Amino acid sequence: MVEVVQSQGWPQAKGLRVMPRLAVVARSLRWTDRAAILPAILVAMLIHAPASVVRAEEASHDHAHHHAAAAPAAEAGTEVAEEAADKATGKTQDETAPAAAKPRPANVGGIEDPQKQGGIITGDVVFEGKLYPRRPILMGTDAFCQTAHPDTPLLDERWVFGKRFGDEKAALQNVFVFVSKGLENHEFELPTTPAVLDQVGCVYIPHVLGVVAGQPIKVLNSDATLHNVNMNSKHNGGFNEGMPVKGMELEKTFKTPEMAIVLKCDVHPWMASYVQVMSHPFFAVTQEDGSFSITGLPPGEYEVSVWHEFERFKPVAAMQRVTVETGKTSEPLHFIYRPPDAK
Amino acid sequence: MQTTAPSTFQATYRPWLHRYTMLLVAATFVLVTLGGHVTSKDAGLAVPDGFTVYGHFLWSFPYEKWVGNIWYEHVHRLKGSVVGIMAIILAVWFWKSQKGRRWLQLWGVMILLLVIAQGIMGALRVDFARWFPPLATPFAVVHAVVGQVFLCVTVIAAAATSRWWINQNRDDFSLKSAAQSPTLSVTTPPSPPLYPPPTPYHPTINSHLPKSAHWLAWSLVVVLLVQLTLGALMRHNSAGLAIPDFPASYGQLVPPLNQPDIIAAIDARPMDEFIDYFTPFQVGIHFAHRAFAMVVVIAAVLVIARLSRMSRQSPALVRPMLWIIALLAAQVFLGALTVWFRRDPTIATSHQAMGAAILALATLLAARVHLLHWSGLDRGLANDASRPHRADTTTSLPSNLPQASPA
Repeated sequence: MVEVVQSQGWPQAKGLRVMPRLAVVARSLRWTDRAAILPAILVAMLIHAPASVVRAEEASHDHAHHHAAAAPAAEAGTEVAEEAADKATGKTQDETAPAAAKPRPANVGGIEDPQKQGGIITGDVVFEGKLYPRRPILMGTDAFCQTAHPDTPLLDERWVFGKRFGDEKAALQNVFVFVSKGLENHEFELPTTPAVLDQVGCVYIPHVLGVVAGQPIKVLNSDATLHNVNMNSKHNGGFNEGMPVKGMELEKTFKTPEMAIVLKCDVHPWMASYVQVMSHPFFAVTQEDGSFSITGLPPGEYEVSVWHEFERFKPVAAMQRVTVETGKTSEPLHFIYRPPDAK
Repeated sequence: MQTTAPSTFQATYRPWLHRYTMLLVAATFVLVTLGGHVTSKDAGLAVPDGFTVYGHFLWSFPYEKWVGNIWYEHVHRLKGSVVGIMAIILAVWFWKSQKGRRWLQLWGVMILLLVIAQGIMGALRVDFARWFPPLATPFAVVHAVVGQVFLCVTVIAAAATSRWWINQNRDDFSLKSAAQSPTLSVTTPPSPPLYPPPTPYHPTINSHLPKSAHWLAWSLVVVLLVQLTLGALMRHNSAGLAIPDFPASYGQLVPPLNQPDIIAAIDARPMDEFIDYFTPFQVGIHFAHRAFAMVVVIAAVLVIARLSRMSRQSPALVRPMLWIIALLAAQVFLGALTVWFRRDPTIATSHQAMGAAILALATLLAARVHLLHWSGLDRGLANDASRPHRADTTTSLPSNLPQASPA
């Protein structure tokens, strides 16, 4: 039902197209008549506009109920994301529990490989150095966002430290780990299921998202507030679309491989998500414990690289080589990031 | 006694028209400031549709949806529509009341056309982010610059309706055509004799003012426009902190301008969450804005020093000059604060608004100097008693009346 609203354009914009016809009528009238009609048109628009949005909200309500529960849980993976999604969508634990198989953990990338025919790359990413505090985000301009985080303020996501291993060592979350060399001569099936990017509690989930070029991305709005999704990239064009109604969804496809495409919400300027468009499906994003796993790799020698959004955090070795054998898990890779002022 | 051919046309000072024009200037200044704040808050695209607001008609967007950055963008649009309506009224008012001042009638029309063009440009700036993103930022810069040009245009309208301007009694730029063409002339009843005669507004503006004075004054406006264009380019390319220290640039006089050196310079700085790696373009445009600020200050001091020698006793020229100097000093300080406080939106907007105020004052100064130049006052006619100066009626009074005391 939401698609119907989108495909027809905004109801009010459609209403404005009537104006030229009214202008033809108005031309035949005297000045005094026109002066009386103009306020009448304005009043009619005032009444018409809010009513049509309410209709759109009602229309989308069923849809939101239908999809909002499963999508973030399947994609985001972490419990935190699920809880946030439930809180924002008002779901109980029973409602959100997927009836089918357990979803893949978010830090596991690659392809489904139940027969263990491919190899597996594992490892972790840690940060060594001063664990800089994260800046709290002031959400006072939108009451909905504030109430979605009632207990603790939301923190800026530029860097997120996960599990602590000491005063100056912690797992580094949201690091994109990917095979950067060694897959040139391989071809892979394009995933047909869309990758899901949800807006939950005025936060993008996930913060870093990897997709294969040509794979659709479904952007959801699980918030009862207005969002816009704004993107401008070098190779994949750009768009800026409003998602003012809870339950709305948007589908986009990026066809050219490109790193770090920023999707942002200008209504809530702290909201940003980094989409990595790859030419293959062998990538993963580190989660709370800093670990990652890429499954289903064909045997061979590969180079594995890491990317983090705050470029001033430097990896000691941004690329590592690994040999993958059929059905085996390779030697774990350890990536270390250091702060800019590390000695 | 030297005589000049009196014009049959005499403009009339209309206080309410002048007040209304001043109100338009104030509204435009607020509008420009709100527009600046939209950029400071990074809210320019918070409403993705340019001609509507999330599908709503502009004035019927429900208040409960003014959330987050939508608030700033929507208020800017509402204010823009108010200024648009005010411009319509002004254009009609000018057309009806300024029949002998053809240029001012057309100026009113131009104000209206400019505000319409600016509104469309603002909407396109937003819509291009959907239709053709590479054009969104250039349009934003043009929208920012035209906004300030519009402020200048309203300032000239306000100046031309002021008592001071009317009192020059050379009307203005349509003087020649009015004198030559009887159809354009409008005869208004002569002013009643004033007694005691008021002090002339410009007793000593005379041959000291060179012929090129108005070009000098306008050149300051052009320099300021260049500077605000650089500022707009900087702001719309997220380069406000591309040089994170002030007054030095990465500890040097000239910042590094190639990528490896920029990265090395940023890495040499302590950890700062606001400072990531900037591109050479960002650093370059930021530095250009800083360097050109020095050009602006030097140009302002030179122009004002030269003009003030010629118009020491004319408050109509001296006051804007003093204000320009005072605000320029504050403006440099605000620019520094913007960097030191890591581009705090309120400070960044204050810096932008102060720039607009300086530009408005420079325009006022230039318009007044231009009038004096055009009306011939700068060629030794200011003290000519035969001039039909409205405020200077001493020659028409009976000689046996006592003169006004200086007190």
